[in-house]
Parts: sequence; C-alpha cells; structure tokens
Amino acid sequence: MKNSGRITIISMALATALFVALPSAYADEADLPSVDEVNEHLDELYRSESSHAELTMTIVTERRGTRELQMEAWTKGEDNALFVIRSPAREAGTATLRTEEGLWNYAPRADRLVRVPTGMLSDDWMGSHFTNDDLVQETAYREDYDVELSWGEVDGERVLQARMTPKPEAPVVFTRIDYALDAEDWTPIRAEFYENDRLIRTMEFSDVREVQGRQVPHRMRVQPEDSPGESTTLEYRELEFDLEVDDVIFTRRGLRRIAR
Amino acid sequence: MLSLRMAIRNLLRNRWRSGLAAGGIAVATAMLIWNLGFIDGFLDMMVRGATDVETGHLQIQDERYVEQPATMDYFEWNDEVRQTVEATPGVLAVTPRIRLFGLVGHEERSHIGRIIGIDPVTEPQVTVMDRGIVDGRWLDESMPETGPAEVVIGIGLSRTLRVGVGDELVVIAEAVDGSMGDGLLEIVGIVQTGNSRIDRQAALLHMEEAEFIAAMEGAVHEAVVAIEDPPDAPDTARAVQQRLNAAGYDHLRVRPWQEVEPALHQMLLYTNTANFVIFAIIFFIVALGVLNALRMSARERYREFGVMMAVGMSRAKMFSLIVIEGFLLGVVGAALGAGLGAAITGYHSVRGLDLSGFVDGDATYMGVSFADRIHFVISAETLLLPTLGLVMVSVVCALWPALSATRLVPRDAMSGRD
Repeated sequence: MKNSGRITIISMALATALFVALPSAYADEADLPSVDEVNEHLDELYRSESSHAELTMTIVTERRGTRELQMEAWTKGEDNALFVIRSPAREAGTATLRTEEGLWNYAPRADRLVRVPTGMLSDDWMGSHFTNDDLVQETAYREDYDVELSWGEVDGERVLQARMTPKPEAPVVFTRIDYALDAEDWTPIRAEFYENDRLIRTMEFSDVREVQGRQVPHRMRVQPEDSPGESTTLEYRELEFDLEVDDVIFTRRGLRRIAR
Repeated sequence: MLSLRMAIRNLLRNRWRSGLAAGGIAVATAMLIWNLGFIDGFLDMMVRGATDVETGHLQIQDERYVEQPATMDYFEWNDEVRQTVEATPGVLAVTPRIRLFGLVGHEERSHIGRIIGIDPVTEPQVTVMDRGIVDGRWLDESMPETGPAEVVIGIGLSRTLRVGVGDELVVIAEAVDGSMGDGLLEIVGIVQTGNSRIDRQAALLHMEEAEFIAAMEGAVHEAVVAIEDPPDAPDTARAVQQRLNAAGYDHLRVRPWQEVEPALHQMLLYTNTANFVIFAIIFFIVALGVLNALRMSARERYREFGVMMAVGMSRAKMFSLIVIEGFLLGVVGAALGAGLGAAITGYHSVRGLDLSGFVDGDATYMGVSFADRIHFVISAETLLLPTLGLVMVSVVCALWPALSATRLVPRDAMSGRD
C-alpha cells in the first residue's frame, strides 16, 4: 500500500502506526477484517493533506502538581509538523519542528533552533509523558512491526485488537504494543506499550467527535506504569483538516514569525 | 663483634655470589618502591580527577537532591549558610553551583549536557576546572552586560558539536517548575580536565544565566567545599553538618567525597588490599632468590664450618654468623635498592610517566582520563616499607641455612660427606 499522509498529530500518528502492509493470515476467520482493510479504513479516515489544531496539554506530576499548556499545531504532507506553545507566558514561543530533514526544538529566548538528536527520541517531550517519538513518529512502525488482529473485550465492549510485535532485529524500544480499536469504526481506544513484556505505559483515546466526516478521538491520555499518580492529557480544542497551510512555517524563518 | 667481622669477611670472599644476592634484593626493593610510587600516583590522580575537578572534598545539597537529583530540589544560598560553612575549621573555600540537565547545541547538532551555573571567582578556589582551559579563556568575573552570556565547554562536547571559541551555543533545560528554559551563549573557552563528565558533557556558565534558564533565584543545587586535609573529609563533613544543623539548616546534607564517589572510595580500599597481595608475591619471589643464594653460600662452606666447629666454635655462634651474613646482604641490597628506587620514582614523580602508549586514544577509567602522564608519588612510607621489608626477608631466609649449619657433624662436614 502506498504511504498515506503521515499525520503527525498524536492520535493519528498512533493510528497510522497500524498501516502495516502485510497479507493477513487471519482474514479468513469469521468476520475478522484483514489488516489491509483496517489500514485502508484508517487511511481514509485520517489521510489529510494538512491540518491545524489548537490543543491543551495537561501534565500531572507527583512533585509539581498540574501544569497546563496551550498549544497550536500544524501539519502538512507526510513529514512536516510544527507545535508551538502559546501559554503560559514563560514558555510561549517554544516550538518543536519536524521536517523530512529531522527534528528541532525552537528556543524562543535564544531565538535559535536546536536539533534534537535521534538518541533523544524516546525522551520526554516538553516535560510531559509523551515522547518525542510519539509526536513525530520517527520510528517506522510500518517497517518494524508485524500486526495480528483479533476480537477482544475492553470494559465489557467488544473491540478489535491489534497486537504489534517487532520484526526480527528491528531497532525498536517497545517489544510489544497492544491496540484496542472500536469494533465499529475502528478508531483507537487504548494502546499498551511493553518493554521486555513489562507494561511501560498506557495510552487512552476518548471523546470521539466527527471532524469533516472523520471520527477523531479528541482526548489522549498517557499514563506511565511506574508512577500511577502521573499522566499527561492532550485535548483538541479545535481541529481542522485540509486547509491552506503555508510551507514557509516549516522553515526556520517562517517558524520564527509564527512562534513569536 | 667477631661474628660481624667474620660475616663481612665471608661475604667479601666471594664477591660475585654476594653481589648477585645483594643485587637481587636491590632490584626487588627498587621495583617495589617504584610500584608503590606508581600505585600512589595512580590513586592520587583518580582522587584528584574526581575531587579537584568536579566533586570537591565536601558537597552540600538538599537531602532530597542527595536522594535523587532533581532541578526543583534546590536550597537557598544565603550569607548565613556560606559563612557557617566557611567558618568551620579545616574549610578552605566554598563555591555554589546550579546544575541543570538539558540539550546543548545548535541548529545542526546537539548533545545532552551537564549545564552548570558557577561563580567564576570562587569556583577556582575549590576546583581546578579553570586550569583545564586549552583554548580561549575562563568565564569573566561578571556576566557581559549585553549580548549572549558566556559559556566554557568541555573539549569532548566541543568536538561532538563541532564548535570552538567564538561560536554561539544554545542550551535548553528543564526549569524548576517543569517548564523549558533556554539561553543563547557564546563559547569563550574550552576545558580539558581529564574528568570525562566535565570534558564530554559540561557547559559552564554564570550563575545568573543559569538562574534565568531554570527560573530560580538566590538558590543553588550544591555547594562544593575544599578542605585542608582531603583524607579527613568525613570528619570535616561532620563538623560542617553540626554547624549547619545548629543554624537551623538541618535539611542540608554535607557529604565527604568518599560518600559522593563511593565507587572511587571502594576502589581505593580494594587497591590497598590488592597492593598487599602484590607485595606478598614479590616478597615471596625475592625470598626464594635470597634463600637460594644464602643456602648455596652456606653449603659451599660446609667443610669450613666443620673445621671451625672442630676447633671449638659453638653452634650458636655458627647460627648467628650466617644470620648476620643474611642481614648484611639485606641491608646493603635494600639500601642500594632504596637509592635506586627513590631515584627512578623521583624522576617519574617530577617528569611523570607517559601512559599514552599503553592506552588507545581517550581512554578513561572511572571518569579519569589516562591520555595524560601519571605523576608518581614518593613518601617516607613507600620508601621505608619495601626497604625494611626486604631486610627482614633476608634475615628470615638466612634462618634455614643457619639452622642446617648448626646440625652439621664436624667429622662428616670436614670430609665433605654433607
């Protein structure tokens, strides 16, 4: 299957993680969709040339209590994404830029971009419980993981389960990712990330709303397993697809204008 | 006195044999002295590499920071705390630091860095970081009033980022409230200290700039103390702790370097044990050589001993004669060896021994680089211990041939049947 637009806003980034082109041996099981079918469906749902979103990120930590950040995000094409923090004032203008050439942080006080080394992809993003990789999905899930579908139950609801296991010798952090998808429209409900068969974190998707004919979870919550009192929630306040997004905002010059 | 004169005469009679035995003792003594000098130099370098460059002799931190370093676990740095520390007997100097973790780099490259806010005036009173400048200069006494703040970075970091003096650098670090702070800096100097934590990761900047990045004021993460007698750091630490407690700062923890660098401290203890084993082995080998020399020399003279006993020499005299020979050999050999060992070790303590030929490039052990020369340490202890030890070994080795000689039957000995 061809590359669908890489939609970098988190829920979709994770949803597209399922786009793994492989013939499914399980397709012939009673009414179980094939991986291709699910891919195609998600592709239709989330394929977009561009997007713009306003988000609220709420970070709850044991030591610092609750922090709330207002953010704005743009995506375009497969590789371009820009996140800008709008408030609180101290952090306003701090931005993260992803292009096909890499990942950068924009330091507003210094007024400079700093490249984020690939070694830091699994580090936390802006002090939240999301990682840089969640944000930009640098990891090639499509190439590195096998997917296996089955029916299951989450909180009494029938769900479509997608278990992702790394292909031999794939350079991945997670040794298993278990997705639960809505049985009807196949939107993600939950994802569990395992390292060496130990649950590391859980991501929950909720508040599904229709945006331009697409069913999109508007709230994503990540919960690290080792600190139950902590979490980060990302909520869309506004989301729009296929609008005009100027390429220039994904350059240093354009970013500076939009971030400051 | 007669025994002594006879012993000397006996030793001088076969100069080759005596010379060889004494020579063996001398070489062994010198080798031990040199070896001890090397080990002490090595340990000294390890301790200095850690304490003189970064750790200091004592560290003062908030108790939560000791448990798990976190940017938000700072403590208020005021005159009262500083004066309390400075007034403690044995304390030479104290300097505060702000420590942040974050990204150091520019548009093309970046690296995880130890971003350390320091006082450029008091830091050199406690550590030798400033003496490691290999390019450019140390931080100015005060922040530049306009333009980018100054930064001094480790040589490894400068290579990783491919930057040099005059280039600009950005730091992004987590502030105390969990937000991200950043700063634009200009590289004014590059340091090479031999401490890999500093050389590979450090970005040293003015406290004021670090305060700004971390959104904190009048507070620090650690205060580092230099004291008069580093091995006594635990005692001085206790004294400082007591004074701080009395002044109402009992949330602060004062730790000696032995506690801050437990791995290093452990290694020092292990090395001392290992030293003892090496010592024992060398002593044993030397002892075999000396034993052989003394025994051969005694055996060759069995006839002579027989004659002496036949003309009335007591077995006790016989015994002490041979022991005195061993003692004399030991004294002469060990004295020569001490001289030789002191000379070589002295040379290496002044000029240092270049180890770079033995290690590949930038080899480090426990954070201390060995690309450098190692300077030996020579002390009364490392000089006397091998010297006296080998004299004793010689005496002990003489016991067996001496004992054998006393068992001789004069008639058999004279006829060469023993």
